[in-house]
Amino acid sequence: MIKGYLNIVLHAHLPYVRHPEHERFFEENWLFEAITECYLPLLGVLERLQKDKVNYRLTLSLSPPLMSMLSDELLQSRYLEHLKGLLELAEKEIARTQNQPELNLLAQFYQNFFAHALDTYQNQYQCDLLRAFKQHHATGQLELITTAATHGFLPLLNVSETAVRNQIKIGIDSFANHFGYPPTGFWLPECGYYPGLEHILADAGITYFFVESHGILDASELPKNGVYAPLNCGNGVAAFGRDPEASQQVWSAEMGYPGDFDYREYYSDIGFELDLDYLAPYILDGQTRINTGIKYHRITGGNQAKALYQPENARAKTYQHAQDFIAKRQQQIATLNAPLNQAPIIVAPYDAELFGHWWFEGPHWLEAVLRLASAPESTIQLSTCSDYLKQQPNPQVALPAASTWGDQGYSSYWINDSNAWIYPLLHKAELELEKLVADVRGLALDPLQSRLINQALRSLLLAQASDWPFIMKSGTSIEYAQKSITDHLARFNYCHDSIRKNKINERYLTALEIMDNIFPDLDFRDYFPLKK
Amino acid sequence: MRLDNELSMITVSHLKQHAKVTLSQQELRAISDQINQDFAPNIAFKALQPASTTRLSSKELRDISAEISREFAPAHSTEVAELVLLPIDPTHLYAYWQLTDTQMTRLSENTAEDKTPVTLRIYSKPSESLELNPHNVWFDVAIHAEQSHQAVQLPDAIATSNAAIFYTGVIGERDAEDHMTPFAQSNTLHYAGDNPNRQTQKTNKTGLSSVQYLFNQTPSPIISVTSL
Repeated sequence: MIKGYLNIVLHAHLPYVRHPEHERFFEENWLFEAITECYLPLLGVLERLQKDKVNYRLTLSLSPPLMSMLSDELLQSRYLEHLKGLLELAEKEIARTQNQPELNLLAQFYQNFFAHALDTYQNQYQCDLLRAFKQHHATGQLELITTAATHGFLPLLNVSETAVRNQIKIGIDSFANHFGYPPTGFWLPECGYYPGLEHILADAGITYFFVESHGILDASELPKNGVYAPLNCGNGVAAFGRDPEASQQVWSAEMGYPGDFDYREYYSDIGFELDLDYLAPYILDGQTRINTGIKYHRITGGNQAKALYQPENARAKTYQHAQDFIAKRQQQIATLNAPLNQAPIIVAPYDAELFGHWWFEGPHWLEAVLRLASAPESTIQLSTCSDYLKQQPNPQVALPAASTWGDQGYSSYWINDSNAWIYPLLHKAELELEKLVADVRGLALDPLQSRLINQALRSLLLAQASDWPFIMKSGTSIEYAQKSITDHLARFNYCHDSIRKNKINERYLTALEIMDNIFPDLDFRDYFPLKK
Repeated sequence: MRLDNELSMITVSHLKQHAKVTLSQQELRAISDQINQDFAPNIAFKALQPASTTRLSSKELRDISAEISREFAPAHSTEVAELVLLPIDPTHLYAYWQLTDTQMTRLSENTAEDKTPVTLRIYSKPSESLELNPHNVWFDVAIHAEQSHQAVQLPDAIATSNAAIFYTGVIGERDAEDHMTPFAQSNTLHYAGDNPNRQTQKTNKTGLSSVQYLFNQTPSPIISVTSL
């Protein structure tokens, strides 16, 4: 007997990093590492579940920058080169460790891992991972949704409603361009919600979104079912709250599964351990140490020497942790069932990149969780928000409170001493674009002028990504984040200045279109405020 | 031809037969969504292809990128005075402002005489549509005009209110009778008060320990909380 629902949501997003002006660009590795360690393994999970006819349900949010990069031919070809380099390094490692049997087995493990990635990426998926996800969607078991155009942090863009509306509209349009249909669900970047956002989402055709737990618990009316049922925001759009317990078990640095001693240690990588001369062809500019993805150690306590990684033990542990996760959800549902007036839904959203990249064994854990929850004897039913709303179509009416899933639960991670300087510049550009679009409205523009304003809009969108202030605060790759935002704003200024002075250099415009080729179908004419 | 006619008849008959089936709006939407998803035309995604036939080498791209970054670097404008309020959390706002050169000159002269300090006045009101009026609750924050930004801690009486609150700020000179000569008025910011009774546990996705954000809060921000 089904007593409750579990909705696992993966949010897959990376900032738009694509540099055709350079032969190699270090930050493009973010995408390459995620493809190897997260997206291909996730597809592997879905393939196995499908093959075994497991009746799972899973929600996957794909951000527009990620969709754009996954379908980009330049990045696809660069990824293949990257992967071939890793395969070559793994083969060198097999030779280097031939007298160290335990390490040698691990080197072979990595060679198999990279060879499998290369084979599936190139031969099974023809470098097109979006098509693979779409095929799983077609089975009816994977629900695909999306997020704002460049993952703009909407509570701090809200000085201009046009900017927020544009982020949402272009995000949805981009999804529809890639998949052929509009999404019904929407992932708010960083779960950043403020009252009023539900109207823009409704106008865009969205029926549900997610908020942090306290967005539900601090709603305008006391939620009768806590975070275990959605709220109708008053306009028919449903807000689902993140379950803190399910989140803690995976996310928590202290209590979470990924910190188990049997799992692979992310911070132990041969890129920082072996001779530079040996590593030179596989690191940055032949001289700067970087993570290679070949990691021989497992998480080991305190000051002890790092113990060697044992993949089979780690794999067995994922099953134990999946059993524990399901058992705790069953206990949770049993406890919740009495006081609640309907079967609870537990919403467990995670960054997709946690699974495989930070937590190497995460995809196996996810697979085991989906298998256990789908088993005939399970009292939990896997569900998506769309499924749930079909069964429970009349949620309690209440307006969620402003909230995010960042540290402290509000906006402070995205506006603080490290990054607050970006907002006057972003807001100024937003205002200038709004005015420019209003000024040219009704005018007959030539194709060059239209291309230029569209490129201005692309540059503004890329500057608005929440990743840049996040990186500035987190303290890694700060220079790249600062340069990205100032470069995108400079490109916006260039386009704006050129159109205002009607001095258009097609060569420069073409260069910008080549470098920032995201959102081919956007139309600046949509960038205008709605009359109230 | 005959076969076509027969098919047509069957279809019509079929439609008539099922015309009595009653479907709710919700069921119709569900069927529509399902058909949209399962039978959507397979759209081949097209990447942005520059309309120009201009070919550019990697070096030319780098040079153009560097030139644009250098010549069009983002900068603040001093043509128009502005004040913007942003939400940090239910007990803090972030304000940034820009004053014109004329206003800055005037302020520097006044400050030298210590007559009318530049002040950020924050009004709170229960509805966005209400114009600022003497009945609004307000409080003043002493600021340095040239600093151009400051985090503002809200008075407890406002921050712990259950009611939804709208904030509007004015930056200007304040005289001895608390009258303001405004330089700029801000956007209206909506923020629901944090309800301490619910004691919501604020989680975060990383589970890492909290980081304190040490905005420069000097000079002491809150001068008064007043309802006129």
